[in-house]
Amino acid sequence: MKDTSLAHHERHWHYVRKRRHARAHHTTREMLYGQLFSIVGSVAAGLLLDIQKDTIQTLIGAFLILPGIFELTGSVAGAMAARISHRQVGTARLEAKLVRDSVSHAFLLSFASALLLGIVGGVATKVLLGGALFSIWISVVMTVLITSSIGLPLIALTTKILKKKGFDPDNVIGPIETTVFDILCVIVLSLVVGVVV
Amino acid sequence: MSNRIQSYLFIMTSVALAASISMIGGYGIEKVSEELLLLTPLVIALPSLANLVGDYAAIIAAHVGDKTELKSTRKKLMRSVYTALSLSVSAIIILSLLLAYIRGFEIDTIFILKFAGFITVAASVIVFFMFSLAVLLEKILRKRHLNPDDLLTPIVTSLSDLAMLGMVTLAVLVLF
Repeated sequence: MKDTSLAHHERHWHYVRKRRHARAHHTTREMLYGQLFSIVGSVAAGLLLDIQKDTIQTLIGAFLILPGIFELTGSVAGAMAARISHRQVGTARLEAKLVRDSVSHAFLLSFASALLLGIVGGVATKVLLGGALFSIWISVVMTVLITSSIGLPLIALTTKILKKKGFDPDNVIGPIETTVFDILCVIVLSLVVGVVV
Repeated sequence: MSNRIQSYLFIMTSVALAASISMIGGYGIEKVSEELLLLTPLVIALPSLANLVGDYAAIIAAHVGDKTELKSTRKKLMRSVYTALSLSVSAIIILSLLLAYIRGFEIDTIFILKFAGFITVAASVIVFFMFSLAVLLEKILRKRHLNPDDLLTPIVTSLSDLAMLGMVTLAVLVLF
């Protein structure tokens, strides 16, 4: 059922807030379990970053755009997971449609936002670091595109499975989503930089 | 322009803007990248440090924005956050140092002390700063009849990410 009482942007941040609210109302132990999973995943992403640092370093501005890419993909995936988790649909067919619609909506949003983020990152690199605007723009767009096409369906499927198994995805999906996107972003960015530079 | 397109444009711009704010922290990292990349444990810890403060900032913002919570509940929240934070920080320090050692990074006692001290102090200071900022912002927003739920989380999480990346930049320049 679509909630038509709110505008799209209100629904987007509403999902993000709701998901974060649910994650917030935990005991210390629950906070810790999620954190430990997230830490192990993020340290794995850090290890990959260390392994790929020589490749990534060849693109001036790569470390400038990396936190932006993390933030963009994480924010969109989080809103998508909350959208799938919070909507109650009756049949399996409608559930599958909800997942499909959520993934395509999130994918389009990631792509459109990446176009804009690429321009901001490219201009910042050109002005502040003397790097190449187009290389940064294409790196941001390609990284977000490839990362989202792998990560978004994976997160949507995980959310659906968790929901089916009786878990509350709000409590579990945050650390999974952070881990998946951190790792994917580092791998994909290093591959893209290898091609672009 | 239809409402639907306007809404999409609004979401797209706000998502891109939030991500662009994170790039300010990335600028600091880019400026010290040559020195930073030599410090393997810090490179390994970098994504987890950014996520750590972001997650705790979101938890704090969500609780502080809840007007049903009392002062005493906030004290309990801070105790819970610092207990969980101390264990998270220990896990990051141990894992990063271990993996860096396996990757061939030479570790001595002075480096371990500096590294552990930096991560502990940076995470504690940022979480405390975010808590104070969230309480202050909540009061200001309520006075202006704005719902803190809509603004507190994006502001506090973006600022905490920025603060952590800024601390890492500063540590590379001054401490290591």
